[in-house]
Amino acid sequence: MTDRQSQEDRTGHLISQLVDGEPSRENLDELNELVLSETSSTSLVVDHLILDSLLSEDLSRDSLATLIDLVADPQVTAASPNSDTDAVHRKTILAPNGRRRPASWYFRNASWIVAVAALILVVAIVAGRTEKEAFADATRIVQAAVHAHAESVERVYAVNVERGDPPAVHSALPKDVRVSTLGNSFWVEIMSLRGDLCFGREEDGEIWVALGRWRGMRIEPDEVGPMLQDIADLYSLNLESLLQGVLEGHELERPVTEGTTRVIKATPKSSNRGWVRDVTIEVDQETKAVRRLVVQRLAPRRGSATITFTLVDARLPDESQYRLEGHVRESDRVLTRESRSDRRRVLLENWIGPLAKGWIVENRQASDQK
Amino acid sequence: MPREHVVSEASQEVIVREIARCQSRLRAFVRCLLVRRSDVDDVLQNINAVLWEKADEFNQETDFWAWASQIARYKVLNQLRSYGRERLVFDLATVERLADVAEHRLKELDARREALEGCLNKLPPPQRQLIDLRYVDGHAIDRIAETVGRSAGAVRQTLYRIRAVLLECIQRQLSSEGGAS
Repeated sequence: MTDRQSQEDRTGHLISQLVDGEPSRENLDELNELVLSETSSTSLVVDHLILDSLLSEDLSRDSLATLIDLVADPQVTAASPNSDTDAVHRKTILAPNGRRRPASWYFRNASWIVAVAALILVVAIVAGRTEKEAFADATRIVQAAVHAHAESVERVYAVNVERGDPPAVHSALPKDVRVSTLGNSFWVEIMSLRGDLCFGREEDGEIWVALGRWRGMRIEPDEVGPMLQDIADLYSLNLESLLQGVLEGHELERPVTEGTTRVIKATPKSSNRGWVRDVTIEVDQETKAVRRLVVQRLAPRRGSATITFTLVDARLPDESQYRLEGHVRESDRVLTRESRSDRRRVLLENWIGPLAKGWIVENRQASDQK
Repeated sequence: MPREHVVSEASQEVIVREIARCQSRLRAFVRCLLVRRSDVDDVLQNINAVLWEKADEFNQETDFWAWASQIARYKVLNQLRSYGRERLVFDLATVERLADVAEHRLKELDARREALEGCLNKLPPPQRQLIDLRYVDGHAIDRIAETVGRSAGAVRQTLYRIRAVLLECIQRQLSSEGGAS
């Protein structure tokens, strides 16, 4: 081996310790010397560290979570969204619960924000003409909300869940959750230490999960563990169906005006045996959008829970996001029961920790056949 | 106290946009100057706060990256000076040298990112699998070593070689694009 080769190997070893290991004091002294004495070594160290940063950011979708804590400025955050337009404005800076947007997201959507704001302004002006008629009574307000929700605007809600006492199912709940809705469809985004986890539920009950942009999985209905089922049920928001269900199966109280919203409380009719119990709907007077929805859900064997959906964002929709393929770049990166079934459990736990324990259960039929 | 700092509305809008636009660059810049990956987020947070505080000092007709990277450099240097001797950090002279190179390299970060995507797709499956285990699945080196049945040192070396291959590929792409234009 030549001196040069040996030197290159040594440099490689030091850089690999720096990027993937814990360099010792001696390693570091060597690196300091190398960087100061050889320009090519300086470039090599920088290139490897930049690449490491790019790979971390692109593949694991580091959330750039440190971005703009400073923007949690009182001037910006104190104002609560008075309308969809305000919500759109807010979204350029802060997400719910102070959550920060990735920088790339901000720029990808900057032009859309203006467009949506304009769209919503037009909708608000047109809708405002018929305000008196539309808000004649609670039923019409809810109908107006259903109508508004059918428009091609994606609305995003922050979700807060309060368990009944005592909770029947003790699944740990994530803290930072958003649900995006478009018509009767939805998908859910959960922030975790490793990055965003997104999931949605198909009509047949199959649940898809996207872990960043490079990993996805499908969990068939008979594999969905009780904890995952619980979470999927809690965060689901088929808003159109829900509002229609309220119109048909609930008694609506006289609407109350609070600032720029109309608040309607609904209690289930005596004949209603559904698991949606008391509902409070806050509808924006101008846009008719549902700004806040408080739903008391009661599910057999799972106890009760009060779920609050608060509007935090309105934007032009990206329909692809309502399917797994819209989140994961390559279809061969989607794990299913047929392809590396066990890996899904490991990945879930690795991604979001113990919270995901028991999300996937062994299929009963398969275990019976064993 | 950064949050009590009053920044004019015009500067506020510009600075938010620019900080967001440069966030990837700033993160990579800080990564180049720190030994421990886990320190990056904390330091970056402080840099964002300082950029915000100094928003009114930024001349909008000048290059934001040049301004921000200088502030980031001094912030990192100050941070390193505050660490005790037991903390493993680069010498300050080394940091200055790394910062000079990184500042220049990061001007083309977007092009590098774009090239990287193509280069990742060209990796043979076993190499891609290792990169995935490290960055997509987020496994520690020891865990990867267990999974693939090799020593941690061998895994580190292999990852180093894969990254070297990716760097060559990125460089080729950047050169060919530069030549074509």
